[in-house]
Amino acid sequence: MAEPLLKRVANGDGNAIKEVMDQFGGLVWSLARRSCYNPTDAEDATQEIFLDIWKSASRYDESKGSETLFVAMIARRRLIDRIRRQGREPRMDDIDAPGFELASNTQDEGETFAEAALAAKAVATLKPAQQRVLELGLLQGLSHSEIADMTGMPLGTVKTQMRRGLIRVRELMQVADLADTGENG
Amino acid sequence: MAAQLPDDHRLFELMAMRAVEGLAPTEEAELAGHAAAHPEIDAESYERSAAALSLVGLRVEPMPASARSRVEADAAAWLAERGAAAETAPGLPPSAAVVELPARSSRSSAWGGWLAAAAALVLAVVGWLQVDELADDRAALAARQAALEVSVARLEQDLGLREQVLAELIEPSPAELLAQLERQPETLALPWTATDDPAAADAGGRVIWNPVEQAGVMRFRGLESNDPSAWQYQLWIFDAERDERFPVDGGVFNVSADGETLVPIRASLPVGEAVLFAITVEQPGGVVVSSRERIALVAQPGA
Repeated sequence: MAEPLLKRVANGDGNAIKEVMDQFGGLVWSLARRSCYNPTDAEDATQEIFLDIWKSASRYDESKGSETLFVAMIARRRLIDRIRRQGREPRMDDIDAPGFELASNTQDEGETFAEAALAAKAVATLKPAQQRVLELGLLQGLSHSEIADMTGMPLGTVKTQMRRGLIRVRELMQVADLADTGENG
Repeated sequence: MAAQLPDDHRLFELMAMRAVEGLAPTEEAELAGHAAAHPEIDAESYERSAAALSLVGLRVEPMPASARSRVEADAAAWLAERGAAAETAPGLPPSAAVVELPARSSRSSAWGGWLAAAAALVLAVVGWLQVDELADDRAALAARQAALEVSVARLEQDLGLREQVLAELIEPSPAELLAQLERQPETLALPWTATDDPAAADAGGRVIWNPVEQAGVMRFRGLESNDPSAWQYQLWIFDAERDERFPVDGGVFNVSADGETLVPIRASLPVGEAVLFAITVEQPGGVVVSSRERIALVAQPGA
């Protein structure tokens, strides 16, 4: 079995670093572009994310998820940190952006990720309130408090729904992953 | 095991907060504490779910060439830094991992640092390109790289000796350099502004910088003298063309007596547009990245 790309990066393999840029450059850039107001800011964010990827590569554990998920997780963490540092509000022009269901249906061009398809399937099984909380928090970038303000739900309920939603998505993705492994193996 | 923790345990709350809105440093520390106490909980699991959901509907565009080149430059620097760290002797205490810069009392020693940095960069870039080009022939690459290292070491030695001789012959004194720079029209002369740091209580003077020559002299009066074995001053040049977090190291220096002191600037990298000069108080030998805990003096164009 081939050694994971990120493990090779952690070992200082220059060729693996280039492969990571080839494989995940578009993903990181697109996440940055979605979160940042302008291309210059997105370039700064992309640079910051990749630096964190090199430094964090040794922590990658393939038993916990794919390299795509690991890279996307690092990217989100850096992007959220940037928003916090800049003290800026989430992009309110995205408030009317499509929810998970519509978003997954409109992804009709360009590259797609297996993880995204699994996540979309998983989120479709959630209760509407949980879906809405996840959409506002993860697609529109609102904080728990902002979601409470926007939906009128008590803050504690928002937190509970968010937590249960994330747990449920993780569980469903694990089940789907196991099913895929079973079918393919 | 996870079931042993109540659903509303603070660990889960912090995990969800980090996945959705991020954490403040104190909350990060709190999360780390809870996670360490409960290793059976995968503290990043919510973030991975959030990451998967963030990919839903994502339209992937190729990374622009300008961003790619910046990431490549960072990667080369990271590889070089990682290689350098791997060469440090094992078992040293953490403090020894801090790269200590030698006091740069002459241009020849400054060139030593330049050469070492340049050699590391050449090796990193050549290594980078070679790995890219010759991925299937690692043995040949290792041999070429070893030969290159020997050549670079020999060149470094030769150049070091030449620079030492040349420096002794041609390097002007700080006063001569100051006079020379002050005659040139593009030279900036900026007054120092003292902060509340006790080392700068009665300090003043000017920084003289010529962006064309990439040379300068600092003039101080009233700056507290230092014991070089305990602490040293270090100059940082903030460049509009570089990330604000990584100003250019302008050299480590000492102030040995009261009265006026002239110190030549030893910029470790080319400076595009200097927007701020800052003097910090650092450990002996200086640091690679300053914590900026003690800033003694600053000078700013247009201030």
